[in-house]
Amino acid sequence: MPVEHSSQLLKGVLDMCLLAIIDEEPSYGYEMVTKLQDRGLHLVSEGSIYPLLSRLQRQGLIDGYFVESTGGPPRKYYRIEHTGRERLKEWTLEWDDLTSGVKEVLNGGGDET
Amino acid sequence: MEVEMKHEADVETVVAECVTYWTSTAVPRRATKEMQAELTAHLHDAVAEGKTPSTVVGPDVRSFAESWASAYRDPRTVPQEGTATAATRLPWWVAVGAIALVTAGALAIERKKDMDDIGIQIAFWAVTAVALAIGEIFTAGFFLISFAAGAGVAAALAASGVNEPIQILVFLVVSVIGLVWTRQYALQTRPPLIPVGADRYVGQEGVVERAISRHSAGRVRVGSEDWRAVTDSTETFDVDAAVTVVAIRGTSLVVEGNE
Repeated sequence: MPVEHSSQLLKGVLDMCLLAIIDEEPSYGYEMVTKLQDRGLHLVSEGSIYPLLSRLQRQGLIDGYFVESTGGPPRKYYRIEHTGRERLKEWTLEWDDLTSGVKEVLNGGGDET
Repeated sequence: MEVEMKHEADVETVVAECVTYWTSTAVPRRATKEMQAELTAHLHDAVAEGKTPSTVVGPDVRSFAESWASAYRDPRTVPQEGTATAATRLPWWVAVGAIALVTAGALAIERKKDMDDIGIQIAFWAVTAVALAIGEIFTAGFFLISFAAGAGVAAALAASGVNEPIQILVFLVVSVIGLVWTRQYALQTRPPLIPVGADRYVGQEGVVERAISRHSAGRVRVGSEDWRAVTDSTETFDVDAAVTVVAIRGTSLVVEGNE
């Protein structure tokens, strides 16, 4: 079940990934999913981003606004707030620490060259 | 094309099911509207690319709806009992202070015999009433408004020639009654304390259906429903163990052993 495991891992860092995507440029849900997929990150269910987006918005890290779309229902775009940018910086540092620790553990720690 | 048509119909069904769930679990109406619009747009995009609605919402529409709704009941961001009622629990000395201040003002006027003029008494109470009413606008919790009402009644008494001590007494009585009454009102209009949605499971006991440990999620039966469950405890809960739900995380119950 390699797919299942990697998507479980992704679940834990999804909010961080969404924040990073929104930091690049304002985006809407479906576009974010596409951007994740383009980078090889597959979600079990695409809709799982929405609870996270709502939380990020309620925490004031991102802001949501509706934009009329051509030939379809209006789309809700999100843009990053100042506090969101700060939080992303913190999370990125934490993530770097975590991954370097995990790498060490996976390499067995003993035979460092 | 036929497949796409069918999926379009599914989109409506999925959206309707979510909206029903959100409406019935006390998600604010505005949030529901926005979530509905956002979900509809996403589903249309997905279907246009030949995907099924279930790639968006997963196999269980209700648990998807719940996980999204729970973002609006997040204890860190949704005002709960403590914060919502903070404004209604003003310290008692604020009330005593306000009463003392106004009474002192009224007594000062009464002492000065040369100012024993109905016009001045009316003006005093009227200005006090207006000042307190304006103060009410800038403070939370229906507090100063009771004193404003007291002062208003006293102004009316002054105008009808009732003497000063009676005015003060009536001001005090009306203010205190108003205060007690608005306190009760504030308690009644508190956000409902009855847990809604998944929160109703918190505190309930359940039986383990599939073993749970810190490292692996399992399943718990609460009442007649079967839920995915996780634990932060170091214990492992085997099948048939009795556990208590302590929180909801995403669509999983967080459980602990029964003490």
